[in-house]
Amino acid sequence: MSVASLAGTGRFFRSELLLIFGRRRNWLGLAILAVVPVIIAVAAKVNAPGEDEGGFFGGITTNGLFVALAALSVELGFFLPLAISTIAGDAVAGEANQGTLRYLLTVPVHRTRLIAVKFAALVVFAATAVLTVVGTGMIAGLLLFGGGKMTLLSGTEIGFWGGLGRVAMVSGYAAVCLSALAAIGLFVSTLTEQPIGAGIAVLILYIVSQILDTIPQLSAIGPYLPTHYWFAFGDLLRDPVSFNSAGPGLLSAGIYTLIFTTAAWARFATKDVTS
Amino acid sequence: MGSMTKNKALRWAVPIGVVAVVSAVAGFSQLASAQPDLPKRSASQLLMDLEQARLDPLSGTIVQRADLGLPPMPGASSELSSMISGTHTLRIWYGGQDKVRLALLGTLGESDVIRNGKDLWIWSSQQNKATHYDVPADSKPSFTDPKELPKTPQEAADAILGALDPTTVVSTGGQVKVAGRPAYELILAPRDRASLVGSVRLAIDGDKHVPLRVQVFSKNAASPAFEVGFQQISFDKPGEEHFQFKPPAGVQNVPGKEDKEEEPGRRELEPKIVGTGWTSVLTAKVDVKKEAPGLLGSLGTQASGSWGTGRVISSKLFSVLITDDGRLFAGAVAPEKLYEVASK
Amino acid sequence: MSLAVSSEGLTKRFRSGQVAVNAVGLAVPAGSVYGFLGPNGSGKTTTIRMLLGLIEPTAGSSNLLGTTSFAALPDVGSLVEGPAFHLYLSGRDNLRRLDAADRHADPATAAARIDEALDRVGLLAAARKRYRAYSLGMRQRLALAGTLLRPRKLLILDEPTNGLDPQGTREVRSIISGLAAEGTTVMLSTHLLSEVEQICTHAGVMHLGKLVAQGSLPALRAGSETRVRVETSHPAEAGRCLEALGLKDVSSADGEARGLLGDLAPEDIVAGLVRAGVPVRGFAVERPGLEELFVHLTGEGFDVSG
Repeated sequence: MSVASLAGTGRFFRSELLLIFGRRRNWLGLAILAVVPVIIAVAAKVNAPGEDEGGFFGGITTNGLFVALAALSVELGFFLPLAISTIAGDAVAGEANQGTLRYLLTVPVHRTRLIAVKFAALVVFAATAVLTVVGTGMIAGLLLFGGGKMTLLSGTEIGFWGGLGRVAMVSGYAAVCLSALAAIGLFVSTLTEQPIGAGIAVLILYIVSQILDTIPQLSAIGPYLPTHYWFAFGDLLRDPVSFNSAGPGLLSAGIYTLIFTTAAWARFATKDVTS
Repeated sequence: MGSMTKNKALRWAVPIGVVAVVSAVAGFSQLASAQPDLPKRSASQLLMDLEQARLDPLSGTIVQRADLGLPPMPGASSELSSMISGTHTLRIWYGGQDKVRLALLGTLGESDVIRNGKDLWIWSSQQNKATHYDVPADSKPSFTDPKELPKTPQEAADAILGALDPTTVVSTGGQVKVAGRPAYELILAPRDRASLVGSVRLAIDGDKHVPLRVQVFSKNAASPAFEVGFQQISFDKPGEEHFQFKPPAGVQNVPGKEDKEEEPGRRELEPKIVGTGWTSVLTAKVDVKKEAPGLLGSLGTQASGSWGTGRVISSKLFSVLITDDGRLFAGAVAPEKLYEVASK
Repeated sequence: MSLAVSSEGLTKRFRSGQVAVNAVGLAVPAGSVYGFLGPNGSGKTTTIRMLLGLIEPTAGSSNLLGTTSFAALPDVGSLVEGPAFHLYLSGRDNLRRLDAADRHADPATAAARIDEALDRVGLLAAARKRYRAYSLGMRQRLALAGTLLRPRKLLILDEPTNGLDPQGTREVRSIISGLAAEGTTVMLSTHLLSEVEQICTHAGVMHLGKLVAQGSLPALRAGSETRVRVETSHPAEAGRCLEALGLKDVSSADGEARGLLGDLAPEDIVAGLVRAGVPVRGFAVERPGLEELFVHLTGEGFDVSG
């Protein structure tokens, strides 16, 4: 690609981001994501978890960074997938539904470029959603409980900046997992002209995957489910960092992303646009 | 029209190709690991190797899987059910007899046992609790509660080799790869057909002669009912930092008590072994009122016979019988064998 | 004459089995204003979607500006099946998005080009309003502005005056005429005959998925045959006389006789009738309008209003 065409794609990409982040509905979604960490922090302040309470919630009162981790582990269960499903389901189906898709394609925008830009914007949204949760969690946590040393899952204490680094790694991991869900959503979005239907379908896929993963009789297929390793970010909070589950988690997310972005491309590149 | 259809099919070949390549790579890596090429060793040579092998410093990841075929246990604590079913992952650092760290990895938690000289720490991130014990500096490390399943291939191999006696047929299996290392397989099988255990397979490192994996198969089952083995192993000496443990600030720091004094009345509950080898049955007296509402109350099924009435649990590898008059029988045998012992 | 739009055997059969477009061979000369005429459901929009690469033809091929549609599209402005924009963006922001999607567009001149396009369709004052608040006429004009973001060699406009009030319709037609005068080829699909008669130089007629007629307006008109009508008290006699003069397809009815004029001069026919002593009360040469032609071709009436 020449510099000029890359710059041209950059402009389209920014316009795509403006479309996502210029929409009031999406701001509302991000605001809801931001509320949860604040509730967690305030609840922990008002009603301190017991001395022997473990996990992230127990750590909150000793280090505000744990608010971010606790909020992320709570929101990764539903609110974050909900946000990603909605936006990803909207990506192509929303444009098809409004009819704007035909005007983009006749600009012309190459269909491959459209899919690439749509997915890149979804990745940015996934990262933004995670940062919204983690960022508000850290701010609320640090304001109410302060920083200081962070106790890792292995019982080792590390300094504040080291802790911040771990939180950053966890955020990156969560963003990669959510991007894989976004790729699935992008594919579903090319199958229909109903953006809300596509979003709900993706959310249902996420929930079904989570449920299948908890059925002991199906433990053989567990590692192949898209959500199996989502909570493996705990590996990044050990000493030393473990990739026992986080490694396969990144690999799984990468493979799902590759399969579904190429499937979205295959589907969309030859699709008749009749909307 | 023709070229367009072809074009369409070609595009779908890309995602399908990704799936194919991923599954081929996964399948190939399994196939590739099936054919190591080690010099031949007989069963008795392997047994000798095992006995002579010194456990060198190592670190790695151990995966323990249990599929005992127990019915679901409503009401049983999740901790208990997770102990005898499912998969556990442990990280191990072994620097010598008095420098060991074992970490049981939970999804968002971790339990560590750290032995360094005469200090023994037990850390639980879920409970946010660190417990300290003083141990004699030269004692063998033993973290394993006898009620639990063995956590490392070493422990499992020790337990099994300890039970080696004339009731066992020892043979060699093929060569396998465990944790990426070529290994010999030693197969132990009970002579006594009454045992529920079909065979035990030990994978012994081709170079270091240490057990890398132990699998226990029940009769008529193709997949192991219990398995503990290295998923990844390194024989580099682990760094000193892994054995240093300082309880984090603000954490419950409990000095552990040596639990040596026995409760009065406990002695009469001391278990006895009836029979020998693979089909031996452990018998004990239990306080039915205390135990029954717990594990057996939810798990066992009602049974009765000339021995009386009680509840019985049967799994792929073992059976447990608790009679209503407070006798406990357990062994790697079918419940019928327990009834037989109970009626004597 | 070079063709701005051409197609051969262009066919679309939908998965339902319905053949929406059947072997259409378009020939839109460069520099023409081509009226793509047909009743609703005759396959005009499906044809346009195939020309623009939105749907793949089942068979046949098409060219825009002598090349493939994707290569030509930067020089083609199009309006397909009504306007469509993001509801929560302003008119200007919607055009910004379209311009940003165009990798060939110069970002430095984007603001000026967008305002110029808005000005041309009379939307500059409403540029900051959300699209949601636009009337149907404003939406239609915004879509037209979208096609004017850069100079185009070809405009493909699907029902550009649909939903506009008479004033808006006049404005849009004058914009199109202005562009055509600058040398832009315009292909204009419509179901309004008057629109074709007012601004088109060429036309093609779609009926049930087939292109049933195509050509310049004079040629289309010429293709239909001119008749003479003689009003007389002796229709049978008049008919015999017309036949003797060499007219074809002669018929006589109560008070009149008709026949196809062919190559004959009307004045010779009147002279001939008079010579034969046929009392002529009235004489008329009837050249059919487009409307009659299209009714004849499609068997359906057209909405001639607007």
